Amino acid sequence: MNWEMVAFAFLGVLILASGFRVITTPRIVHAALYLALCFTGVAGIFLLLGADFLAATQVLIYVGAVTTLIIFAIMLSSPPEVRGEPARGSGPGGGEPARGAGPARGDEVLGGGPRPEGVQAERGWVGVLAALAALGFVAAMGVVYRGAGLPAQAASLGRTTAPLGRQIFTTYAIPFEVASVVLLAALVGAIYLSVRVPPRPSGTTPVSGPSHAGAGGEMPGEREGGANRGTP
Amino acid sequence: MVPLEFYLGLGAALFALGLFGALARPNAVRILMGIELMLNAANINLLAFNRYLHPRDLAGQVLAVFVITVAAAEVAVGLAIIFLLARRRHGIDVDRIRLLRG
Amino acid sequence: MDSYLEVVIFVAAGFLFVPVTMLVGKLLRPHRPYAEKLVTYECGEPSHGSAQIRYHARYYLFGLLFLVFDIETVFLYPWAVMVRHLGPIGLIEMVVFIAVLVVGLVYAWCKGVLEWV
Repeated sequence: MNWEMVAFAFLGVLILASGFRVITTPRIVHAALYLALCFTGVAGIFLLLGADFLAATQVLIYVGAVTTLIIFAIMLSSPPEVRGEPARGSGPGGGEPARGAGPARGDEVLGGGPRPEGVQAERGWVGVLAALAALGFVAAMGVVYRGAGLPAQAASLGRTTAPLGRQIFTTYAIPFEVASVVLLAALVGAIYLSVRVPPRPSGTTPVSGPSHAGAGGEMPGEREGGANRGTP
Repeated sequence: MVPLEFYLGLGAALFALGLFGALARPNAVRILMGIELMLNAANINLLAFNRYLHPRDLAGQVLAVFVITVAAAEVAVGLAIIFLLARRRHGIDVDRIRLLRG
Repeated sequence: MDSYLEVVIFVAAGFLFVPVTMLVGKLLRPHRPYAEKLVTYECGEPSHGSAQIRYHARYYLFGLLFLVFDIETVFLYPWAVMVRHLGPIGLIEMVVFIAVLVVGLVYAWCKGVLEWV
């Protein structure tokens, strides 16, 4: 039992426990925070694997930026919609109190009303099937790994940043440039989806309620109207 | 020295957790979180195979960098879509979103 | 691998710092609560409303820009380490990469994302 094994066991338990909480915790803000913890643990695993630059990247992008973005997105939506929590009713930005009222628990109430019965039953089966898929995946991987002849010894990698730079900018130059196009597409797409088409000054107050309901008519793609709204 | 099987087992378990979360949860944000868990599991596997099978070139690490890049782009667009759905459809329950169902 | 011992010590000290500080504070401070003292501290202002309001979409756009240019940093760092060995080709590659991302920045600028109202 050397110290590397101890660190691996600690990080493995940390990752799996926080990953489990990401899925099971009823409050979605807590899920986002557990997600950050899980990402940090994965960064530790990267360090154990000798990938120092990847560990720094993991912390910088996943823990620093992706989790922040997810928490922003949760906070940007009114409570009963995304968070799966009962609306607090009072307060300036309490959202739509009537919609979120009732025994809201976990993910059950999301944007109004009880789910229709068919959807409820369907969802139960989906949970069973998802569990079967996950267990089947682990079993299949176990069979595959058992059949494969895996090496027992690891080579030491040393410092990885300089060779990684050489690889990215020589062998993988085309994927590197394509990555910039992917990022550009993501940036433009996300901005297009998030910015209202005519930016009007009156719609910029950070409160929800009637102003947002009125502003809904200005978003891209609103042309087909709200025919689907509220109909199960 | 930790054997390779341990890393692969951790990756498989994390991937299974993410798969379950992405399939079983109706909340779109949580589905996105499950996908992120799966991508992290894939990265663990990439780095483990890189270290144990091909330590000479860092192909697995380069691939992991690109996976992280694409995952970040996916989160950005996915959250924008979720955000738009939350504002327009008043809910991000994927069972209730049937805009593309026909 | 022993060079990570400092990192482990640093992280452990960071995680221990908060509970130890709070424990020491709990042992040392007097305990005389009254209503105003128990209010959530919000920069000295009287707090009003719920914390769980809907924030404005502008925050998301700033987070988005941060994410994209964070990734640019990740690519810039190994490039900066290797730029002397890559020659002019490396410089051209990075200029193209940054130019593509600057197109996105210009788009964001034209959409008024960068202006804080």
